[in-house]
Amino acid sequence: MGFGSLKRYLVILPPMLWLGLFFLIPFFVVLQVSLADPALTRPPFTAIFTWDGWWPTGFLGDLENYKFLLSDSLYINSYWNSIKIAAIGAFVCLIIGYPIAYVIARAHANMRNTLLLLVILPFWTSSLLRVYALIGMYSPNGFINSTLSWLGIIDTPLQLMQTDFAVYSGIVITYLPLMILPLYAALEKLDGDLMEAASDLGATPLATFWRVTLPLSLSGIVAGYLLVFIPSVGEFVIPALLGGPDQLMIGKTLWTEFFNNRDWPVASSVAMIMLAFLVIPMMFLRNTQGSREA
Amino acid sequence: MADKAEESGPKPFLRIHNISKHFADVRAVDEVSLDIQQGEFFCLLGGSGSGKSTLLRMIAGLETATSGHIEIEGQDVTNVPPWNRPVNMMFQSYALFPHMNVEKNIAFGLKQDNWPKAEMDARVQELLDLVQLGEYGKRKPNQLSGGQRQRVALARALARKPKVLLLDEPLSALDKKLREETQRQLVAIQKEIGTTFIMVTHDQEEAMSIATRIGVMDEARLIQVEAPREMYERPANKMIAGFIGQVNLFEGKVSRKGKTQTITSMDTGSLLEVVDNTKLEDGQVVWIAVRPERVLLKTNPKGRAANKANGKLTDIMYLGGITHIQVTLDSGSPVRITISEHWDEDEAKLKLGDAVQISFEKRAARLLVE
Repeated sequence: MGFGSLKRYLVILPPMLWLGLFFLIPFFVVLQVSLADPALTRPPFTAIFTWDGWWPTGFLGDLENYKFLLSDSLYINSYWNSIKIAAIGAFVCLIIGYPIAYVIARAHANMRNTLLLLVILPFWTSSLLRVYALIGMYSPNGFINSTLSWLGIIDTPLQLMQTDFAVYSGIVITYLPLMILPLYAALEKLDGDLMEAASDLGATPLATFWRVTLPLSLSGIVAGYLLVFIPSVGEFVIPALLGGPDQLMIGKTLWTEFFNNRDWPVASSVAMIMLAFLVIPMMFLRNTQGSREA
Repeated sequence: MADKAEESGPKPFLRIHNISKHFADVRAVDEVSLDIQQGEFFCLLGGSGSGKSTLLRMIAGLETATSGHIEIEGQDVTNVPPWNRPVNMMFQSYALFPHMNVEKNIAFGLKQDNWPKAEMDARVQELLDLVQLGEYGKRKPNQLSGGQRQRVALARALARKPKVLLLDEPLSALDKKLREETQRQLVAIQKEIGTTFIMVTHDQEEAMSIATRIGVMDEARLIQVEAPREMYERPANKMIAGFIGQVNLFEGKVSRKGKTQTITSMDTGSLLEVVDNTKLEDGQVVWIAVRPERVLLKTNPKGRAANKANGKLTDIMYLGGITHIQVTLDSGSPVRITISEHWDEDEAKLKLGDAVQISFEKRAARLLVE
């Protein structure tokens, strides 16, 4: 090992230590709990190894908790619901974010930074605060309902809270910048000559969009979609504050298991499966980015 | 000259009438009128910012005209969007779609026009053969050399059989050797398919060697439209005389009018005679333009006569086939001379600083009033 590679190891050592300490070790702790059984002890689960001094002599863990998750439709429904809401929410972000990113990318060069700043600015406030702002808008005596009834358009307040609509608006208001930024990066690189060439070759603006702009911004679409989808799956705050009681998302189920049922092993296995769901799209994201750079 | 064609000649294939383009308060193209016949290889020549590219983009429909109109085969296309115009453009950057291979790039316009698959494939193959890229159909643009990309761009622009092909500095990204070869190919392809070509270039040699006619643009206006030879022999003004080839300009005042006009020039310190029928006034300031290859050089300066001037040899640049010589006249003005026959310094026994005499025929010069 030369001095150069030694230096390289020194540089990556701190982040590796950080990841080991705060990601890898907790990961194994949770994995271990997910294999244990609940117990009325403190902490509330059984040990999965028998020890002889420093050496483990027996393994007591099992997959009972995972089997339990499969047996109860509550969990399957929560997973399915989480993925559905995250997928639709990310799609709504894409539909809203794409035109915004397009306009910014095509704007005059000295306007672009200002417009980007306007996109990022809300990101600097707490996401919790932004979700509470939505409650202020949507609640029965919130801004929208009171304005509509003041105008005489409605008699009884509209049910805006505890709806899918509220949850999707929560995802949009929380994650939209994560969609816009990669889209902007992809669209900004797009050569304007290509669009002109397409229209010169007989493509209407719509055809130009489908055949040139969209395929060439695909990397940005995939990146933005996953950046919104991944945190949305495990989202707890948005469904808890904006969603209805029937809207089981996995983050909420996890919370209930941990803090209401105090069943740590089941909660841990819920977390492990959620992690598996998230790792797969993340690997996909890494692959697309790798091939884009190649 | 365009006016004459409007009255007598056949109906022009492409007519540009009084077209202008203003960007904010900048006039990019200012009241340009131009008629182009079918099958021409027309070159728009001008420096950067002369408005030549904007004019081309207006023909393509990529810029909308501020005023004036454009007709193709008698049909007004001024407000027709680019995707509905019977013209195609080859971009300076080539603008090949990076996510499509060569075949798909060429077929882009055909697919847009809903060609049947079999005919489309045949047309793509025909074009690949035309630009000699038969085996490269499956390559992506980033797997091609600059010259190959240029040919794909040409094939793509020709695919829909446009009535007019527009070329925006199509050769500027190629190196010198490849550029000359490509110029020849371009002319051969144009002759083969007979499509009207309009090419924008800033390279006067390129325009001279390719074009059937050249239109010179300067400061948003079209100054002169001529075939290359006539443009060279009879430039309309000093700017064009200097832009198309090299030229010696002698300023003077009209001293005698007639079939042979006589000018008293301070630049040569002598009378200059030129055969020209321009109407002049006594004392009017004019310029005599003489091409470097039309200037004669004598080693023994004797006598003072019209179209002769004495000076000193100040530079000799031997280039093999031709030799560039610079003479500084006694008045101080420099004169460039090009000698194309075999030049032997020893034989001529000329060295820098020698006294020499330059002269030119009165039919070899051109009188310019602006």
